[in-house]
Amino acid sequence: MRLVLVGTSYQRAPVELRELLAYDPELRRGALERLGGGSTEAAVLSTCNRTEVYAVGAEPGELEERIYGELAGLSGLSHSELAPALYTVGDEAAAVHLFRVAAGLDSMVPGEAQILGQVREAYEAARGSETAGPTLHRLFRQALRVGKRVRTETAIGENPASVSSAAAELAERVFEDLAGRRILLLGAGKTADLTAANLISRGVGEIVVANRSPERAEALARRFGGRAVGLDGVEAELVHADVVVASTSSQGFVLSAGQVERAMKERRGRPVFFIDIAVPRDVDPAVIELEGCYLYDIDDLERVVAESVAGRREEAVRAEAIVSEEADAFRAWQLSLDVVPAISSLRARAERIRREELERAQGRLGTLSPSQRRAVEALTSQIVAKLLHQPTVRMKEAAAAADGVLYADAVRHLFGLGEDADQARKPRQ
Amino acid sequence: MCVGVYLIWGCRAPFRLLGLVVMPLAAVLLALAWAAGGVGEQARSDFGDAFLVFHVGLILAAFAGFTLAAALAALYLWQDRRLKHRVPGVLRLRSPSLQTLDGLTVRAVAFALPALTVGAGIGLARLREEGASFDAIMGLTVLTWVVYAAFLVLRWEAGWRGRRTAYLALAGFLLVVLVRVVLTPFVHF
Repeated sequence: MRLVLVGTSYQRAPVELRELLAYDPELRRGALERLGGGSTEAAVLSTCNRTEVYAVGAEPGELEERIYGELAGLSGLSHSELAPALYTVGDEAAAVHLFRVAAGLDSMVPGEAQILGQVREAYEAARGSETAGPTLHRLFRQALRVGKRVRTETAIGENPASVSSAAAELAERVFEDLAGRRILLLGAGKTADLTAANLISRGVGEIVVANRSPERAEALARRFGGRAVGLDGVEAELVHADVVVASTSSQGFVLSAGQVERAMKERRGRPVFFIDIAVPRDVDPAVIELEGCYLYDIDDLERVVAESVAGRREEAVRAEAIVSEEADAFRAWQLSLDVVPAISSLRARAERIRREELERAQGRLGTLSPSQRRAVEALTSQIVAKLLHQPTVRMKEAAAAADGVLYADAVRHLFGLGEDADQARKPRQ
Repeated sequence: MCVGVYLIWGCRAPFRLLGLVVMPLAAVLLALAWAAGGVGEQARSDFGDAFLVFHVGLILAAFAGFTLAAALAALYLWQDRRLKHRVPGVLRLRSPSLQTLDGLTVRAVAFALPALTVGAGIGLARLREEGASFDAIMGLTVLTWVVYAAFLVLRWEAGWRGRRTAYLALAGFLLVVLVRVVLTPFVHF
């Protein structure tokens, strides 16, 4: 059985094409029904950045054609239009690819966590449609393990990869956690929105929105369950706020160092973290000189993100080593499949002979007590197991060295296992 | 003793990062003890066992707490400096938040000061009993007590926190070093 992967990702296809190749759960179910069944296994991984179809069957060329047909049908494009955007990979390379995807090594932002859930979803869908056979079960379970190992054994996913998450993590370096903290949003634009959403996801307590336009402030405050104030109320709010996110379109400073200094006196030394993502800046840079004030503008945050993404890339080297280790394990498992049917047949044949001979000897042995009967059973089983132990070990070793097929054929030939082997080759469901 | 304090009080999930400070500290102190030959057989003291256990034990426990507080304060100042200077790699090293470090420094001092109070009190009572004179080490111990008491009062009553209390914890620790390392071997016992 051969593994085939046909797919595309953000590296090959623009968003216009990826949109045409995206599967929702319903479409995926249909695709799995069309591609899987019989001895063919199939799984579809579909995210906003990639669509990949994994299939296992006897004829890789035919599988590839079927997947191309499926993707052409989905997108409404011809084979020739699709071909430049699609990649086709087989067997071990396909496994390595999925392991890298699950590890986040093939993602736009190395180590992003969402992809692991999407790989799990693809596997669950294949299981639900009963199109995951032994190879895909093994492949996806191992891919999920790779994803978990990479995230626990390396720091690839630990550092923020966006300005909003960097801002939130920096705030967490000042306050232990953001649960129950008060956030003051200056400005009600898109950037403030994103940053606020990130902070809210970390459990902030109260959100106060101050904006020149009361309507926009009200709208944003309503969305986040906070309250709105006018810009003239900012100084009073500053006394209570722990994190200030400034993103107004004002041409001058909205917060002067003097205003902050006055507020700090009333805060009795409690620190405050300023995130100034406005251009031109909203917060007077002199604020950084004040005790207990921490100020990051957009450039500072972008430098932090760049450094953290560079850190992720360094960790990616360690992650690649894990992928390679797991790929070796998958390869060894695949190779062992070459000899497993022969070993199973050999053992089945030996067991059948043992039972037949025991039955034949029944008359000569006379009446045996249950304990004698058990002793004879154990003795004959041990003889069979010991005889077969060495050939089994040797065949597995040969499989690991890629000579498994030769050995399996030799065993089948020597013991006349042809029919048994054919039976055992059928994939287990 | 630093490790003991950590194991009894600090080794809970919220404070587990304290190990970052405690382990290097314990290693350095152990190395110093070896270097000074302090792990050999002890000379016999003329003082009674109970007095030694309470006076020396409590003073040492207090000094362990102050040492821990100083290490935490140093870590606070380092982290504060990185955040203030907006070092791009500030997130790449995992470290406790400023709030945690500040809180732990206060707790370490709050644990150590009562131990110093009782330990030094026992010593002073013994001193009065024997009519011995007040030496430099006692004067510095009292000064140390004043610094740390001021630390707690300023923290709890005047709202001091952050860098100011961190510097105060380090100043107190300088006195601890002076008492323990410089004066004790020559003046006391």
